[in-house]
Order: sequence, then C-alpha cells, then structure tokens
Amino acid sequence: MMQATQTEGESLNKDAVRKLSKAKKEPEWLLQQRLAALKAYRELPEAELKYGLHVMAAPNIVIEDLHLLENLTTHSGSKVSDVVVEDLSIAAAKYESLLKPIITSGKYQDRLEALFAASWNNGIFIHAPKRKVPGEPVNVHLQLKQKQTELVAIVVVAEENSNLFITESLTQTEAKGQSYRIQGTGVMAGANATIKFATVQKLGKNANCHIIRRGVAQHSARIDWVDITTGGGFTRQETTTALNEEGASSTITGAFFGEDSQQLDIQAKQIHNARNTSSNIRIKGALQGKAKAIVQSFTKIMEQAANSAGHQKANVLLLSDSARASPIPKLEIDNYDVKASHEASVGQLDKEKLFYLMSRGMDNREAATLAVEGFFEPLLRELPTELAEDIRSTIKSKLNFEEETQ
Amino acid sequence: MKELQVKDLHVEVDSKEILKGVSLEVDKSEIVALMGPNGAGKSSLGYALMGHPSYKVTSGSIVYKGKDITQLPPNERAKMGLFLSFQYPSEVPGVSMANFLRTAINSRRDKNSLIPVGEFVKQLKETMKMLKMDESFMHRYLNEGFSGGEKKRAEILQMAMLHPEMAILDETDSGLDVDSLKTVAEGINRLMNPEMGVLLITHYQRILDYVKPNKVYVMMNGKVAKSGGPELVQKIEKEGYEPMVIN
Repeated sequence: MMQATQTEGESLNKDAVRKLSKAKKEPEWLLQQRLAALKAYRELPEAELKYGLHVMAAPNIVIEDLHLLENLTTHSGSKVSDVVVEDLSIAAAKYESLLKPIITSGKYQDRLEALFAASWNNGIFIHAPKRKVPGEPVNVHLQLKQKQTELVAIVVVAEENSNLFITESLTQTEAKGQSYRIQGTGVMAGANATIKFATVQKLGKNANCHIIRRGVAQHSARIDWVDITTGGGFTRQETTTALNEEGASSTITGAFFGEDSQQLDIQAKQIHNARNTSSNIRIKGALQGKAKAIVQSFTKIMEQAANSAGHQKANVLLLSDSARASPIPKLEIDNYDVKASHEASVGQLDKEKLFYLMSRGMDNREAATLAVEGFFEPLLRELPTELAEDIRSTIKSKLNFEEETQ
Repeated sequence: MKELQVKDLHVEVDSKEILKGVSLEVDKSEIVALMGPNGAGKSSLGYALMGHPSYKVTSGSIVYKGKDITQLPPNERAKMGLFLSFQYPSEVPGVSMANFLRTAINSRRDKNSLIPVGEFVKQLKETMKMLKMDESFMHRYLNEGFSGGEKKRAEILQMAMLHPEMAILDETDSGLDVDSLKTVAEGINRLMNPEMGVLLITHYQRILDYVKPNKVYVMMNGKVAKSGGPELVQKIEKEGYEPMVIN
C-alpha cells in the first residue's frame, strides 16, 4: 500500500504523480496526461463556489491507494455478459485506442478538475461492446466504500445498441476528521445505446464530496442519470449531458435530503447540440435543521438543434425555519422550433394539508411524514424499485420535526 | 347529556372574531341541519369543532362525550369519534387514497392490531361500490385532479371507512349534480346508525330532501339566529334568510 501526502507545492509534485502512476502500472500516455493536468492545476484559478456556500476545495489531500477491487463489487444481471469491468489504469494499456481519446480530450474548467486528473487514485472502466440489436440491460453494481480521502475516476463506454444499468453506492466506514471524495465520471453512449447511471451518496458528515458526471449521447442514444444524495457535509455535484447527435435523449433525476449543517450544490445541465433531441431535469429535495441547498438546472438548446424539447423542474421543501434553498433554473435557447419549460419552487409543508391529515386521526409527526413522502413519491415512482425503497427508508429515518408543525 | 355540546363559543381568526357566541347540541342518532347564508360562520364552526389551528377559541367550550375538547389537537378529536367532511378538501399529491386511508385507520388503532391489508382492501372496495366510485380512485393521489363531485364522494368514502360517531358534513351537497347528490345522500343514510350523530352544514335545503333532519339551526353573523324542527327548512325555502335578520 502506497501513501502520498499532497500539499500544494510540496508533496503534489511531478515525483509524487510519477510514483502514483508507476504503482498503478499505467502506460506512459496516461502518466503524461497526469503530468499535463498537474501543470494545468498550477496555472488555473481556485475552484469557484458561488451563491453563499463558503466551502473551499481541498487544499490538502491525503491519498491512500486502497486496493480497488477490494472496494468494488460488480454483478451482472444477465447470465452471459460480455461487459467488462476493470481497473482503469490497467485498462488504459489494454484499450488504448478507445480510452486515450476520451481521457486526453478533457479541458479543465477549474483547478479542482485539473487536480483530480493529475492525482486520481482509483479508476474503474466499464465497457459494453457493440451489439446487433438492443437487448436487456446488464446491471453493474459498484460498492464504493471509503475510509478517508478517495479520488475515483469512472469511464463508461457503451457501444452501439448496448444497454447498461450502473448503480454506484458511496459509503464511508471510519472517517476520522475531514475527508474528501472527488469523483469524475465520463459516460459515452454510442448509437442507439442506453445507459442508466445511478449514484447513491451516503458519505459521512465530515466528507467533502465533489462529483462531476459528464455524458455524451450519440445518435438515438439515451443517458438517464439518477442521483440520490443524503450524505456528505458539503456536496458539489455536477451532471452534464451533451446530446451530440440526432435522436439523443437524456434525463437527470435527483432526490436529496439534507439535515444538520449539510450543504449541497447541485448542478444539472443538458446541452442540445443536434436536431430532434430531448432532455428532462427533475430534482426534488427536502431540508431540515440548518441544511442549505443550491439547485442549478440549465438547459441549452443550440441553434442547430431544431425540433428539440428540454424541460426542467426543481422543487425543494423546507422542514425547518433555518433551512435554506435556492433553485436557479436557466434556459438558453438559440432555436425557435423547440419546446422548453422550467419550473422551480421552494416551500414549506402546507398547514391546511397537515390539518386535513390530522383531522383523520394522524398525529403531527405521522401527518408530516406522509406529506413529505408524498412530496417525493411522484419522482420516486419513476426510479428502479430498490433505489426508491432505499431513499424512502432513509428519509423516514432522518425526518425529525423539532418544531410543532401545528 | 347530549353527545356534542357547543357552549357560547367565541372564535377568532387572525384576531378577528368570526364566531360570536355559538351554542348548539347534537345527540346520538340525530341529524341536525345547520343552515344560513354565506359568511354566517357555518364552515368556521366546522373548523373550530375539528380543532383547526388558525381558529382560536377565545371563550366558551366544546364538550364531546362529556369531555371538554376545546384544547385538544385535531387527531385526538378524530380518535374520540369526531369527523369533518371538508367543503374544500386539500389535495395531497404523492399520497394515494388507499395509502392515506390505511394510515388514517391504523393511526386510530393499537400498534399491535393494525388492519390487515386484505381486510382493508376488501372494505375499501365494498365502500367504493356503495358510493359508485371507480376502483381506480384507490390508486389516485388523494383529491389531486378530482372534480368537485369526486372530492365530495371521497369525503363520504373516508367517513364510511373511519366509522365516526359524530360527523360534521360541511356543504357536502355543493357542486353535486342530482345523481351524485342522491348517491352521496344515500351513502349518508346508510352509514347513519343509532350510535351516530350528524351535523349537516348546508346553504340550500336541497340535500335535506334526501337526508331528513330532526332539528334545524340557522346561523347569521357568527351566531345561532334561530332553531326549530324540520318545518324551519320549508320556511327558509319560502322566505329566505332575510326575515331572520329582523328577528
């Protein structure tokens, strides 16, 4: 097991990156990519976190090279599966022609991204080869347990007609002090391929969690993102799909529950680059205690993307007087032949509704619990059953009505 | 002693007095009509009896089954047997009618004797049939997208499933066409039993053609202006509420 302590200008240097890459048996091109990212990291400004959430990106990062496969379990739903799940560093040599263009194409939007590209310590590659006709989905389940800080890179390539359903659950076993989770996920859906990618984040309250998920959908491909966030002290989560070819579609469905001093910065972006593309963003969250959330949804329809549709909806429920939320919906449309809509709301439980429920015999807590469950239900109904059950029970166990709702 | 006694009830909403000393009684096996023009305070009385938090009782009392319930929260009143059929029931998105009713029934039961799902569904289906409601209502979100008539039926469905002993029916007849009115009235008559009392709040005498009251109260300006037997209904139909203002 290798340990590298990285602090600015000190441990995070070329030698540390070389050592990490060597330990992971990476090909030369990947090492060069890491070194280029390190250079970019030094030149870029600090990651910007806006809208009143004052949490700085990691100034100090301790990297522990946990043996990846110990922390990773996968199983496939179909009996015979040609889907590959492999260590990304090893895959970088084996699948160079496939992975090199993907990994080296990225531009770093801020310092955090460059830092991540230079020093990610765990990588996973999931590959679904081309099929003649679309088939049943192959399930891949990633159980990503972490102790302290972890930088995880995930690359998914679903080739023509393939169908993947990936769920990742992020948990933490024994966090001492602050830890960081930075995760970069890149997803490519080839022509007519379908990818459902669900992230369930239940990290500890001392974890700073940055998740960046980017997808590219080719002709008639579909990418459905799901994220369920109930953990983390500070969570910044950015999901973007580029609908690059005709007929591509994407949904981003998010549900969160925040309590205590949890802070969430959620960004969902759908970029329509081609004709006949469609996208949807739906986010629902509830906050209690002093929790704060920013929910930014952004739909961009480019001039060339005629006959496209982009819809977004974000609703946040505040369950305490000190909880705060700002939904920031944004539409940018450069073509008139499109359908687009947005809706955003922040509200509290309706007192009339609670009275109605209580008049039937439910006490304050039962009535409020039922109303909160009802708030999430229309969204959860559309999720895979286990995921919906999981968040239902998490929410139920966390709900804490300190104040009389009467 | 009468089952429900309202004694000189004064109620404020947002520091404005809206009930100015209401006294009335409803006993077991009685159907009591509460009539009066718009704004007389009929619905406010319904809310106050059920314990709506915005309706503050400033003086007077509500006594039910010999107990002063003036300060009890709505759920405690419900557990004692009180029920309010709302004039404008809230929509509760995401909560199916079946889930809601089962939660409501179980909230009145001991943790060890919750209603078995099979028995619940059977009861629910039978009751919906009686009220000529389509079974699909079970799975629909509570009151969401229901028409006015559907909401009223759903209220009576809840009453039938919860078996209250004192039901306050607030304008259950408003917004119903003749057929729906008959179905709802039939439902009320079938649920009526010697252990149950009903306070029927209505603006028009229409529903009283089907549900026969034993007693009639007329409210005006936050007070009971007149009370009497069923013959009062005919009088109001002929003369309107105006003459009672002069009295």
